[in-house]
Amino acid sequence: MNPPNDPDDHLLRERFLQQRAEDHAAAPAWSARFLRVPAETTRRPQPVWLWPAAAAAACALLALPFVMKSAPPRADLSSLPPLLPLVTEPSTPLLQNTSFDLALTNSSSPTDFLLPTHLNIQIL
Amino acid sequence: MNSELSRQLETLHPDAFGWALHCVAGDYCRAEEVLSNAYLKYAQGKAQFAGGSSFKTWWFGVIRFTAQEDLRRTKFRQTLLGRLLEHLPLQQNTLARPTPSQHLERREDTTMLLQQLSLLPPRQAEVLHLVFYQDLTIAEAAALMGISLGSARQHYERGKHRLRANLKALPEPITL
Repeated sequence: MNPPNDPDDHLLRERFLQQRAEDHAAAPAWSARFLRVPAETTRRPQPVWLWPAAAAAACALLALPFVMKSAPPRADLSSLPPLLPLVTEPSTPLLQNTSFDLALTNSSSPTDFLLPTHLNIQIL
Repeated sequence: MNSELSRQLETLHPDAFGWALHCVAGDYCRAEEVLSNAYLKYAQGKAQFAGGSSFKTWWFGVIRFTAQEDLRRTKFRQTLLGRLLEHLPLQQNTLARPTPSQHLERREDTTMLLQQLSLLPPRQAEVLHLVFYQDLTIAEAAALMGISLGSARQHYERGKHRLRANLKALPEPITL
């Protein structure tokens, strides 16, 4: 059911036939062994690193319970002394009993005049 | 095993190799591997001819499917995980054929044809190969490729015109 032969098709047909002849020449010869089922499938050799890696993984799994057991036990928090006993007492203002010399906070540097006025910083 | 079918396989062997070669983009080593795997499928009874189509169409379908499997396997092997699991480096085709001298013997016309064919969309190249090289009808090619007849005909016409135009646009080969 191919379409009617186009007169221009002969060029393509020729080239494909040439390719076909070359491929046939390069094709492997037919052998009856192609249709023979292999007696037993050959298995790929195991990689060298497979068994050591498996053994190491098994050892790690076996050692896991011991590692877990030897971990330091968690202490009961209620049995520990309170770390911040003062927190429970009524709070008092910080620096209540401290007196400062205010004159010290108003000191000025001799080079203050070099600064622009808007950067004149005073510690109060 | 059906001896009649085995005889047909033997008759089809050179063409089957040509088809396998097309399916693996001209790699001789992989074509041989694909063909061997296809024969193995037949021998093991994994691929059985039910008589729904011509034997050639069915057999070429098996080869096409096997080539697609091979392509997927090759892609997987190229991934890092694949290389790790397979425990082998990227495989190189050391047995690839033809030999360099055979390559030189390949006619320039054929080389140009293969080059131009590789520039076409895969479906177009496939249908042209099946019709011109394997001498199948477009309907058989459509059944093999798993597409409708109309679609196959469209691929055939477009591919043919494009290939012809490309080949005509090439400079004439120098003959000594």
